[in-house]
Amino acid sequence: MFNIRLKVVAAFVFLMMGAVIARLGYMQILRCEYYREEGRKRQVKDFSVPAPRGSIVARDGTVLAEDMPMLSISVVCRDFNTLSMEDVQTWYATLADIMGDSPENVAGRVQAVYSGIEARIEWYRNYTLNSGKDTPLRLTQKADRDAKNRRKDEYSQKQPLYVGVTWQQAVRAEAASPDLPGLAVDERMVRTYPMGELACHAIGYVREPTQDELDMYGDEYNGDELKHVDQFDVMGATGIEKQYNFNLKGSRGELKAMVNAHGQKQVILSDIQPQIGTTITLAIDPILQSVAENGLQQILNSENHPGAAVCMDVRTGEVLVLASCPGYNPNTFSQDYAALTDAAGLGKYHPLRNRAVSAAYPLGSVFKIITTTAGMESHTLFPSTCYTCEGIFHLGRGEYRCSIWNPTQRVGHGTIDLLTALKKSCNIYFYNAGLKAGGDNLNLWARRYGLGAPTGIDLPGETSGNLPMPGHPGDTINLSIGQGSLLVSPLQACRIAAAVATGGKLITPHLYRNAAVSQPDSVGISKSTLEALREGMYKAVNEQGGTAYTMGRTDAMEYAGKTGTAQAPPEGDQRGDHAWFAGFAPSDNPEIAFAIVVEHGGHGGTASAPVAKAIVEAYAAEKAGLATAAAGTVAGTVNQ
Amino acid sequence: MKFESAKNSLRNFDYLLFAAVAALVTIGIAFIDSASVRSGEWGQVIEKRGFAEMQFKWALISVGVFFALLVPRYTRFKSLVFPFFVLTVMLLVYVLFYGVGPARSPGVRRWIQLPSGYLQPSQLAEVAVALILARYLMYRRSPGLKDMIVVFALAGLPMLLVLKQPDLGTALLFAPLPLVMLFVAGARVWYLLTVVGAGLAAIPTFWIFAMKDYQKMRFLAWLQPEKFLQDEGWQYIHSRIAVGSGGLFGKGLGHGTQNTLNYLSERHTDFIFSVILEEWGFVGALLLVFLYLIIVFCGLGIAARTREPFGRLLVVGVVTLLATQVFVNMGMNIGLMPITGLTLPFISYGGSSLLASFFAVGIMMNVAVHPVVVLSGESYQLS
Repeated sequence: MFNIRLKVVAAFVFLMMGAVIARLGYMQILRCEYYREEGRKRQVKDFSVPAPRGSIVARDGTVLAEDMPMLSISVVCRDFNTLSMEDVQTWYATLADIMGDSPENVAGRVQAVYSGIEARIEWYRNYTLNSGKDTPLRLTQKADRDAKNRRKDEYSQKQPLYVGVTWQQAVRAEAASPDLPGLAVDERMVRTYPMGELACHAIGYVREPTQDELDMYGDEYNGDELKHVDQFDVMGATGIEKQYNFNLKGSRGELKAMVNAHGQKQVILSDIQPQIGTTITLAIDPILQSVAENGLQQILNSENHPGAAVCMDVRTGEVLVLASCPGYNPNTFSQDYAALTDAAGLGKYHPLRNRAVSAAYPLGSVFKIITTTAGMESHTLFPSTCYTCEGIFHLGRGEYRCSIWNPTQRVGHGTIDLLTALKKSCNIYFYNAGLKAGGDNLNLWARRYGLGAPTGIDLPGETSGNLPMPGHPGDTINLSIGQGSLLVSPLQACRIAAAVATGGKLITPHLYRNAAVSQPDSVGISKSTLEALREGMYKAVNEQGGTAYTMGRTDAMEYAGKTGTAQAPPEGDQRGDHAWFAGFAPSDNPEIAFAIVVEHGGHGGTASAPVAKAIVEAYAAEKAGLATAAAGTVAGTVNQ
Repeated sequence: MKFESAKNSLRNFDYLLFAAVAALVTIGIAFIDSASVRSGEWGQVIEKRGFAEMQFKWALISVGVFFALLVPRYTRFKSLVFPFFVLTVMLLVYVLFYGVGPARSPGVRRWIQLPSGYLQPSQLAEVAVALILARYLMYRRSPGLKDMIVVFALAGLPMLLVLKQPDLGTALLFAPLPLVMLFVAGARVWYLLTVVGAGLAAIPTFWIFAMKDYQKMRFLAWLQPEKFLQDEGWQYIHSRIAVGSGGLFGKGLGHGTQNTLNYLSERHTDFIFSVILEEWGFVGALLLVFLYLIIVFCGLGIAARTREPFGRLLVVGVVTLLATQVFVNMGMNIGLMPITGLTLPFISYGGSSLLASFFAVGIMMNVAVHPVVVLSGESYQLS
């Protein structure tokens, strides 16, 4: 009996062990591949390696924007969380001592890191909850789980507190870090602008990606998975940085590695190296650019008038100068942001606005180029056509004045022909010419010169300006001298001058030298019109009595231009006319065209022409230098 | 006479049983060594804990204890069985008030802190229950209802105290002990089946009133590990991956990725079976099961050869304890049972676990090497 029952016990043990073996046979033989795959899923992780953003360089190779590795002091929240209350105070105090900051500020920065993390988590949480892809209960569970994982993830990463610390500070922080859990020194890529304010509006700046962008480009950016955007990326906010953001953005490296349970890499399975983004070479000529910026800055300093200047190579449409004054330093942009937008201070000049392409002004007398074209092309105006200027012009009950009219002395330009009228910028002459040509014709030719439409420059935020269709003769008179509701950007004005310089080609300006540029449209100006315009614009600069003669003429290079003095309503403490100058150089075989505007700067010949003169002189010097250099090369070759 | 006795003892020494135990301990040390590596970045070993060396020392001590245990004839302890039982129950009560538990689970009290290490009274209590049940049942020809009540009370008291610690895994070991011992002592089968049925019926009550939340969580995680990814489910998933990915022949000693990449926690103690299955595969599992079956069958063989009723019941009790522990540990490693925190006898790292296991085979071997002449013939045999 006992032995039988022992056998039953033995059979029972045998059965239990049989169950173990059966289960193992199922798991290890039948389902082995499934478990291996499950293991791989958890052990093999993809790491995305950030790639540096491409540089932006000027035509001569001057670096305007580049990614630079910078030392930064970061906090790792997971370790920081282990500190006691007293230790936290010591932590703040030690770091404050290293950084020369106050413990309160350090605490504030740490707080900002934490609230930033929570904000991101909250955003993802709401995103999950609003996705509607599952039942509300399950979504809540998923959101909670994701939030937990995300927090764990973010807490284990180095979150920057101070970026761009000095080498000494980094060394001190590194030395202190064993006693300060959660303190880490690391190197991260920071967008820097070595030339500071130079061409800041053209270059633009970068910012953190918005949640919408993360959403849209989180997996792929314009179909490129390696360029996908994550929260540690930057995106171009304005200027070239924005326009060519996709090209500038580097292709991420992809590292497939086996990780252990703590996420530490073990073995690299595959590795795609990160690729730096495309280098964008701009047509900007740093010397001309700085000459233009200095000229505008001097006006701002002495007379508080902001302004803008554009200069382009008329043969290619390359933009050599794109200046807007005042500017800002993109390196310290975020720190300066409050001051830059403070309406009581610098902010009243709107330093962030790119006046060269995004602002439009009444054009004033520069429009007379178009009035001349409209008249001559409609055969209502000839170089020999004469009108008499008595300083004032009457139309019905309306009274329109010439620039030289003043109430005490009733003076006018007298009887003058077209070239003299251009040279002296007589309003009365062009009232007559404009009326003869008709409002429709003025509008048509203005459109042909590219007004009322964007130029197509490779920059975001370009304005079209405003081109009115004159309804009655009063409007026509206003438009014929560039007044009324006409609004033109400096770039559009520069294009008018370029069209005269190129013999009637409406070129598309561009900053990126490799940009695909379409063939220029023809404005359709006849040769005789061009000759008259060039002659008149030449006289305005180079003949005594010309509007730009006194302040604009230079011996360095003969150039042609047209001044403009546009009446404008006052803005704040700024009152007076907008001062315009548009022209091209050299006058006989044009290579560059330019346009300058000084807001409320007064007379175009006085305020804007000197900037043009400076640009032309710098261009002439550069050209001479190039010629010398070329001559030197030739001589060197001969000597050998 | 003494010489004769020693010679007799040697003749009855169960070499097969000892060889199986020695093989298991050796395998155990090898895998403890494999499981004591902590890897850091790039597979570099950031820490190699000296568990294998410690285990080897404990194995030597345990073997010493084992042989010392063979010297006195087991029948001498018959009179000490009751005091020993009372002592262990007192220790179990003591531990509820003054015991310590694992640092990560506050409120759990399992061990008594000694100057050099810990004493786990529940391990003593298992043996004490086997002893007292053997003592109580030895002359009962066919245990009746009253005997069953006494037996279940004797086993149930320490079991409840252990449950209170709480230590579900160890408490579980007390359950089959009275059943098996009653069975081999000749209790009526339908009595026992009624008790088993009643026990199963009591599970819902037990679930509602007695189980702690974390225990329920573990149980739920066992059923659906995917839902408890970060917490309780982690161990289930990763131990199953370790086991399944081992395949037929395993990944080789020291080459298990789940093991070396720190995916398994408690891998040198409760989850060493997963490590063995990952690195030695199904073949390793067969070997292990075979070795354990040798121990069980040797034990049952000793019981069959022993005519003296206390000894043979005692051996059956000890074998039951070992077999249950092996099955529960294997079951939780391969997903047949919820995780309860039990070591794998002879293999898992830990001095007290090793000592307790050797203590158990020591009792078995003692009964084997000290045959008692019983002058009662066939008629005495339980009927």
